Amino acid sequence: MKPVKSPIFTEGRPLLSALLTLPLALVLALLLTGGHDVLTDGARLAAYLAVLASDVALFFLMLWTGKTDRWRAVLFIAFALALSVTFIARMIEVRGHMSFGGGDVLSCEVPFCHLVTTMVLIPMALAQSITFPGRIEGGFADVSSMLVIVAIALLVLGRGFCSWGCFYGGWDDFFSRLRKRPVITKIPPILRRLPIAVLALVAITSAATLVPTYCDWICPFKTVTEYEAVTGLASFLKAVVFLGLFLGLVVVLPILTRRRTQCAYFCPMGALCTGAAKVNPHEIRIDPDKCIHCKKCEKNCPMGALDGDAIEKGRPSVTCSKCGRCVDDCPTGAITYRLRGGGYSVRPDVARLLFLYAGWTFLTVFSGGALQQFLIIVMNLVTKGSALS
Amino acid sequence: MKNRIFRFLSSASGILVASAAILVVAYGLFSLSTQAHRLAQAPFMKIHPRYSGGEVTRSFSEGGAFWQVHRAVFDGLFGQRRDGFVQVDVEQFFADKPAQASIDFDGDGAADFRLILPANGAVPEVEPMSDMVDGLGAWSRDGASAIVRILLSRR
Repeated sequence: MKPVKSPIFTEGRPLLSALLTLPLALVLALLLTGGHDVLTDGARLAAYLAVLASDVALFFLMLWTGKTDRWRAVLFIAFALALSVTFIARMIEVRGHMSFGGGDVLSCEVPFCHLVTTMVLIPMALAQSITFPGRIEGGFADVSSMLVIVAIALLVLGRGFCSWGCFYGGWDDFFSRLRKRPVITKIPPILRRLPIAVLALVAITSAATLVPTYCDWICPFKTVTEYEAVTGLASFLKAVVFLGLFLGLVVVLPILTRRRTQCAYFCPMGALCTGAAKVNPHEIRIDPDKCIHCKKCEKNCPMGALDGDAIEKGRPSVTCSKCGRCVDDCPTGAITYRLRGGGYSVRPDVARLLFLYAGWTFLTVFSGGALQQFLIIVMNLVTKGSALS
Repeated sequence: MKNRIFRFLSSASGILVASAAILVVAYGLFSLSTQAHRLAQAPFMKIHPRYSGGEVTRSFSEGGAFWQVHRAVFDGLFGQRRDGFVQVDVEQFFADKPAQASIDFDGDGAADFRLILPANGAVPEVEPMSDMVDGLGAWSRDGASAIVRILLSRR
């Protein structure tokens, strides 16, 4: 007899879903203020309330409908867009343009993003110093704040950071959803190991040259944040590489393959998160006895983490970012969120709820500032005709 | 019976760890600035001298500006490199007037190079007076402030 997916205990129960959303709403009401007095400024208050209401509504929908990825993706993609817009607006406000020049490097004013973590680890351990022209403390995107955020993400989410925190991931998540069917269907499984090679390469070359080589030469997301001012042949080549990799890995290939190609096959941060996978409490598990081999999960997994081998083993491959799409799509409930180790006997829907509390708190708070700032920029644009304050 | 107790204990420990993870996220993000400040005090939390320019060793007023000379940086990952630089931060008294000074960065009593900042943000000039000095490296000027790196090599 074909196994049937049993509904999640909150599915179709609005009152219970609302009750379980309430604690999160209270926590978010406090955390989304970001330490500002939101009551003093009308625009800030409106942005705060709009972000809080949408974050809480999306969480409620996750519980009520029993679907995870559908609602997660809304916020995740909005975060990527909002961050790029606010980041670029800030750079234009501070510097007058989107590029950084020698002055920003010499005065150590370059914002530190989580990807840089992969390049500073060896110098931190061996030379007791950070090989990046950023600020240790204070100012925008300083080194110590970003390292604390990365530590929390690795500890609690592991590779889940790639779908529940990374402010770049929303770009290729968005483009991977544009087509219903992939044009390219065969991707060699060995490519899943490529991020480990990229991580090793950038960590070693960065340590040897004392230059963050990934940022300097091959980060596709320079295209949507900031880039080195084009002043000569080298900086021109870099700009071509950034744009080419963005178009290739973040736009075209995700559309053609329906996979998040940059995140799954190229990102060194993904490899670092995989390394931390064993220390966090959540994982995705597959019950081979319930699987009817419909291959829906395999076709739809944006990270290419599922295949026959993974199903047989009962767990997805190392690229799994716990986005929840396979859990949503599985018609028999064979794929579920689980608690690692001793918690395997906990009911899957309870395990899912515990993961959602952690993952959603991280994503909403991490994205909260950028989304509020984005709304303030839009309000400024409408009311004052200028995006900048 | 033994099995049931084991199942209960393993479920409880799993839920406990997952609940702790929620608290780590909420508390960690709530106290982000405090945690970041604590981390910033760690011994490995300093910008490498190749980016920060190293410690300021001398400062003086001369030739129309206030000059801060950093230590010579040859630092590599493990030891010293052959090529390096010395950074000089300059605050001109008047941005529209040139400033210049002879600088002895190694403290041997003899000037190693003369640094000239032309008026109104033009390219700085370096006149080497020692074998170690190779010439002008990275530089930036913003109004009356300038950061200039002079390339050095050990021969």
